[in-house]
Amino acid sequence: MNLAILIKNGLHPVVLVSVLLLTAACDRGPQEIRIGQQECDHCRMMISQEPFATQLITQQGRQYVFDAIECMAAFVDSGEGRELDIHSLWVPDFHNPENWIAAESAWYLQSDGLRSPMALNFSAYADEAGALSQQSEFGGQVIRWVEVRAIVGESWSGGTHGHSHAHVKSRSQNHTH
Amino acid sequence: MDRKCHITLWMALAMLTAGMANGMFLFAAPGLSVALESTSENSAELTPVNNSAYFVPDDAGRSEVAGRTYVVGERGDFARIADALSAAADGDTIRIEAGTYREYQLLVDRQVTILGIGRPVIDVEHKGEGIRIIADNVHVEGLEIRNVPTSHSRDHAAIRFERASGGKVIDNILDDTFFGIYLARAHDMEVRDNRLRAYQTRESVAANGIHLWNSNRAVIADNKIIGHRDGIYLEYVQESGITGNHVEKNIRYGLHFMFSDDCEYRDNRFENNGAGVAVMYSRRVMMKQNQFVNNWGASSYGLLLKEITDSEIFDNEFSGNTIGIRSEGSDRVKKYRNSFHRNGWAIRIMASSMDNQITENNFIDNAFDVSTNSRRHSRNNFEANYWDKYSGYDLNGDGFGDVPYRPVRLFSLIVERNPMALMLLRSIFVQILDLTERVMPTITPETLVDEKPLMRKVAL
Repeated sequence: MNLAILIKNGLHPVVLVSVLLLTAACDRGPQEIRIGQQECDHCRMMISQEPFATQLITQQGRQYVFDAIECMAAFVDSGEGRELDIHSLWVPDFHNPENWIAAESAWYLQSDGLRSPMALNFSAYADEAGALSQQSEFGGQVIRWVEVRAIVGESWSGGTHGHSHAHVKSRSQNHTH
Repeated sequence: MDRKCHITLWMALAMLTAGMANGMFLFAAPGLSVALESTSENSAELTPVNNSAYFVPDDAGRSEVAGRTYVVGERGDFARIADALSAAADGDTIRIEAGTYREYQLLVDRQVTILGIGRPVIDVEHKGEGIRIIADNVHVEGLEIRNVPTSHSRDHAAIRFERASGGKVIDNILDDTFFGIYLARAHDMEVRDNRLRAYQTRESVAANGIHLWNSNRAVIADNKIIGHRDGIYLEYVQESGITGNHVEKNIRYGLHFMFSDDCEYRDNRFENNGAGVAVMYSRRVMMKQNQFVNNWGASSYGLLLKEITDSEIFDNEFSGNTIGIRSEGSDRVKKYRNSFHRNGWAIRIMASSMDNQITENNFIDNAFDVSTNSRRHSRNNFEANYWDKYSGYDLNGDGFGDVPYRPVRLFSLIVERNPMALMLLRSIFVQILDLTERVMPTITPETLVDEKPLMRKVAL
C-alpha cells in the first residue's frame, strides 16, 4: 500500500496520523510481568507470586507493577498514582493468572484462607461465580474494585505505620465492610 | 518452692479450668500459656525413657498417668505413624524407627513427643500436607520429611502448627517441600537445627522455608535453609529471635519481615539470595552480627529497609552486594560499627528517610559509598565513619580528618536519574567531574556530609 496514493486520494494526513495513534493505543494492554525480577512499584518487594501480581498502564504506555492487588489500590490513591495519566489497571484471574482482567470488571474475594503477599488477602476472578465458588471454599467476602480501594484506604490510612491498623483489620476482617 | 509459687500455680489452674468451661481456652491470657508451659516443662523433665509412670497434671487440671512410649516400625507397636498418633495420650512419646513411611496429613491433636530414631523418612509422595499439629507442647525431632506438593491455593507444609503453642521442632530434614515449617497462631515455639532444602525456581510456584504468621515469642535458631521463596518469613510476629541461621539461594529474600515489631536477628548468614533481607513495615528491630554476602542482581541488595522505625543495625558485614543497605521511608534507625566492603552501593538512602544515624562504620572498596535520590537531603547524620576514599589530613592529630567528607559522588546522582550512565563509571571525565564537585559542591546534597571522618578503620 502506498501512503502517497492514499493521501492523494483524499485521506487527510491528520486522519492517517490519528488512525496510527489509535492503533498504538489499542496495544496498551497488559504487558508481561517478570516474576522474581521486577519489584513492586509501591512497596518495593520483589514480585514472586503470579496469582497476585497486578499492573497499571499509563496513557504513555508505561507499565507499573505490583506484587499484590492491595498495593495497586494503594498506589492509585497515593500522591504518585494521582499524578499519573492512567490508561488501565489489570488484575490476574486467580485460577488462570495469564488471563488479565480489567480491575473495574473483576470480582474479588477477601479471605484469610487465601493469603496475599501484603496481608490484606485479596484475590481476583473473571466472574462472580468464580469468586463465589472460591468463597464457599475459603470463606471471606466477595467485593468489587471500589470496595477494594476503600478497604485498602481505610486499612493503610496511617501512612508510614498504617499497618498497625491493617493488623487489627486482618484479624477481624469479617466486618471490614 | 515457696508459698507464693503455689498460690500462683493454683490460681493459674483455676483460671485454666474456668477458661475451658467458657470455651475460651485458645484465647487464654498470656499468663495462662506461661502456666501451661511450666507444667509441660516439668513433665518433659520427668518423662522417663522406660515406661515407668509419673503423675503430671494435664491442661485440664486433672491428673493422669503419662509417659508411655510407643514404637513405630517393623518390630514396633505400630507399623504406621497415624495409628500410633491416635493411640497416644497427652504426655506420651512416639519413637519412630528408621525406615520409609508413606503417610501424609498426619494429625497431632495431643501433647506428644515424636522422636525419629535413625532418621526415619516420611514420604508424603506429593499427596498433601506432612504433619499438622493442633495441640500445645508437641515436640518433633529427628525426622526427614519429603515431597510436599506445591499448590496455588493450599499452603501445604511439611510441619504445620495451627493454634498450638509451646512446641519444639528440632533437628529435622525437610527435602523438596512447599512450605517447610509453618507456624500459624503458634506462640512460644522453638525451631532449631533443622535443614530445609527446596528446589523452587522463579517461574514455579514457590513458598517459604520457615513461615510464621501471627506467632509471638518464637526462637528460630541454627537452621539451614536453601531454595525456597523466602528462607524465613515473619508476618505479624512479635518479640521473636532469629539466630545463627544459614540462609542461601532462596528466590526472593533470605529473611523477610512484614509488620513484625520488637524482634531481633543476629549471627545469621544471608548469602546469594534474590536479595538478602527485607525488613518492611516494622518497628524496633535489632539487627546485629549478621553477614549479608553476595546478593548480586540488577536491583538486589543485602538489606532493604521499607518503613522501618526506631531500629538498630550494628556489627554486621555487608560485602559483595549490588546495594548494601537500601533505605526507604525509614526513620530513627541507627547504623553503627558495620563493615561495607566491595558493594556496588554501600548505602542508598532515599530522601523519604529521616533522622537516621550512621556512625563508626567502615566503607571500603565500594563503587559508591552513599547515594540518594534528592539534593535536598533531609536530616540524616553521618559522623565519624571511616571512608577509604577520604583524602583529607589530620593536623591536630585527634584521629578525625580536618576537612569534612562528602560521601555522595556527583556521578551517583547522575546514575540515579539515568542508570545507563553507569558504564562511564571508570572514565576520566567522570573522575574529573567528581573531583570538581568535591572541591566546590554545587549539586550533591549539602547536608549529607561526614564532618568528622575517621583517619583509621574502626576495629571490628
